[in-house]
Amino acid sequence: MQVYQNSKFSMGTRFNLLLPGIDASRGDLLFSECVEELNRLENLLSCFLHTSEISHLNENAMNHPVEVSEELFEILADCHVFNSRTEGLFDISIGKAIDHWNGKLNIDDLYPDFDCHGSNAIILDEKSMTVSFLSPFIKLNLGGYGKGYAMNNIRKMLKVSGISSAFISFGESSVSVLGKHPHGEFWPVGIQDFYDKEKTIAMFELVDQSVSTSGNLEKRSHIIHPQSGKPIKEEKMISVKSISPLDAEVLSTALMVADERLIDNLLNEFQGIEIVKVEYNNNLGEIQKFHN
Amino acid sequence: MKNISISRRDFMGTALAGSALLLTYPWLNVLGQDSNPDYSQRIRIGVIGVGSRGYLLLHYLLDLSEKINIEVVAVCDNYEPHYLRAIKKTESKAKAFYDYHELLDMKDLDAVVIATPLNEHAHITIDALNAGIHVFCEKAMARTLEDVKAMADTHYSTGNILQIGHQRLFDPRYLTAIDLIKAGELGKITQIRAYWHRNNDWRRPLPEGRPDLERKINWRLYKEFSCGLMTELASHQIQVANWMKDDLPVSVMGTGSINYWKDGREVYDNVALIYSYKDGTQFIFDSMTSNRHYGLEEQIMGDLGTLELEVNKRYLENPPPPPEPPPPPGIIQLMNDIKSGIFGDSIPLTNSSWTPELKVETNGINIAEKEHGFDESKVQLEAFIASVRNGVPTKGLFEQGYWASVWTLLGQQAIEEQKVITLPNEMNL
Repeated sequence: MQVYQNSKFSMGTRFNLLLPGIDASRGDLLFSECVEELNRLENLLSCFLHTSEISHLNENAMNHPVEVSEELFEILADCHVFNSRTEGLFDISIGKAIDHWNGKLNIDDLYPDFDCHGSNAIILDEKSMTVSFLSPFIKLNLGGYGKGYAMNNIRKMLKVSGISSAFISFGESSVSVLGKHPHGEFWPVGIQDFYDKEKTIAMFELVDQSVSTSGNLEKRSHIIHPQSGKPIKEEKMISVKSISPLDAEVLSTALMVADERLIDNLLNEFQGIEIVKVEYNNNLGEIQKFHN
Repeated sequence: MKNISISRRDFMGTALAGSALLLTYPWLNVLGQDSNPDYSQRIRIGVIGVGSRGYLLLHYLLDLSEKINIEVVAVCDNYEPHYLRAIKKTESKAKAFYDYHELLDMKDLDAVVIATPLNEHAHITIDALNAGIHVFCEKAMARTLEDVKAMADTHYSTGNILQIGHQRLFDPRYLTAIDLIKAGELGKITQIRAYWHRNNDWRRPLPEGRPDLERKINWRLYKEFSCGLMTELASHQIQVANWMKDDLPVSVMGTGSINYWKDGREVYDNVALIYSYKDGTQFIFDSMTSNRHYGLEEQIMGDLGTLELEVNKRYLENPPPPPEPPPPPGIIQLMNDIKSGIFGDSIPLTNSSWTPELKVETNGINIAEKEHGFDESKVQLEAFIASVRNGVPTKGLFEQGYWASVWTLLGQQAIEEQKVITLPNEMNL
């Protein structure tokens, strides 16, 4: 069986598309359509691009309401809904805290009284299609959303083109599949033990579903708690399977900072999800699985 | 694109012979095997002025003694603590003098290294050259244009070697930069910027109870001896700018003031100048002593690229796109399984996204690597001694120092007179 496969730098990582039964010329065409869409989304959503619409918004929304495109407005409204549904744990407003802990700016120097105000300090005005910030501490970072959104769009494009089987990946931490493995009943996706890469400690069986995984390991803490604005200390991995790549993406980020009670609430709030949580103590992982 | 690494060994050994660098920098020839100077004869050297810089040069010379068969036979300083320190450093093997005339009267002296206060450079250099002694003199050459010209005239009329201490001329990064420029990697050079920023008073402490030594110790702060930031710092970067631009300025304008260190000093504590080349390129220089955030840099800018010489970085205006990422191993396995009709193992997820290595261009590429322990200040002394053995000056080397000093002093004049200054006819070589 022929298989098409290609990779591209995108959204700060490696986008990979694998299409069983597709030849090179058709595959290249589909791949280039995907890349075009990814470039469009980066210009919309990437706060690493100074010219993106989100960067323009970040620069100006503290000074005056900024008119945004319909698509961006809807994305921000969607993020707001996710924020409520995750009880504030998914929060796109903490870009400055993220930049601070990545060494890109020094909050202590710039904002001695820095505080995480949360998404409530983002004002979305539906009538005028404008966005404004109520606090100078706000910077929108769609890092925990963009790949899920892109995945959604790419799935739709491939389906419209008649593709029924595909394996799509962003940096192998967010994957989404169409249909099933050509020689099986599902696409098998494994979670490796962080300290023993040979060992698969959990499996997901994917059919038309997505998995996203986040980790805070090796003391290289890069997950920022949206309420404290500080990196979390615990060593753990969270993987979430869902029919929706956006739910998987958003929840894998939010669950990194969620306690047991909140995990229960989220299982009620979001349908059809599976969660694998691995907590490490002295390099030994304790695995917990949740589903509804 | 090449990344040339020049080692000490290369300088002295066969590796340099016939290399491209030799063609570009004739003054390196003297270190190549082809020049083949006779090392059997011991070269006898005197060091005049053993303050901070002179003491370092003395240290280098002693360190090189065996390797290049030299002997420091005399040291001279009219400041007692430095005089005594130099005697100790040479383990009393070198004769010590307070008066440089007596040092120059020594028999069989081949060369001197001069690192006195600036206003003393000219007459000592001229006396030495006239006495048939080769001279290595620290930059800048002299306090006045007349002195600079007189030194040049004596150098040419006697035929004795006069090398000025611009060590960047021997720095692999700068040499490679010149190669890159000649190869067109920067395109047309359209602007050069350099700055030297410090945050200190530039003072040396006086001995207890000796305020009378102020002008002797802190000579850099007084116009009689020095032009301060211009002669002590700018001269280095003016040399670099002219060298990189491969041209000489046609005019200079500038300004300066004492806006912070109002402690009785006479030289400016901050300056800003613009040197113009005939093709309209500007070299913008500034220096200050009350902020060190930006430190020290020479930025060479062309329509195709940029060099930051002090930090050893180069950047392209239009960097090539990064190569596409390799496919992830798990996906390759999956692809092979599907092709072979196998269901296979699970596809591994990673806990944090695969990230590309930082784009090289964003952080710049190193211009060249220096071998550990390579010190261009030392290498320039090796080159000087090799020239002394050959008995002939190295083509083009003195002129680098001459024009740096001339345009340094013209810059000073521009600030003092608040006029655009051009080259006086009498300074032409």
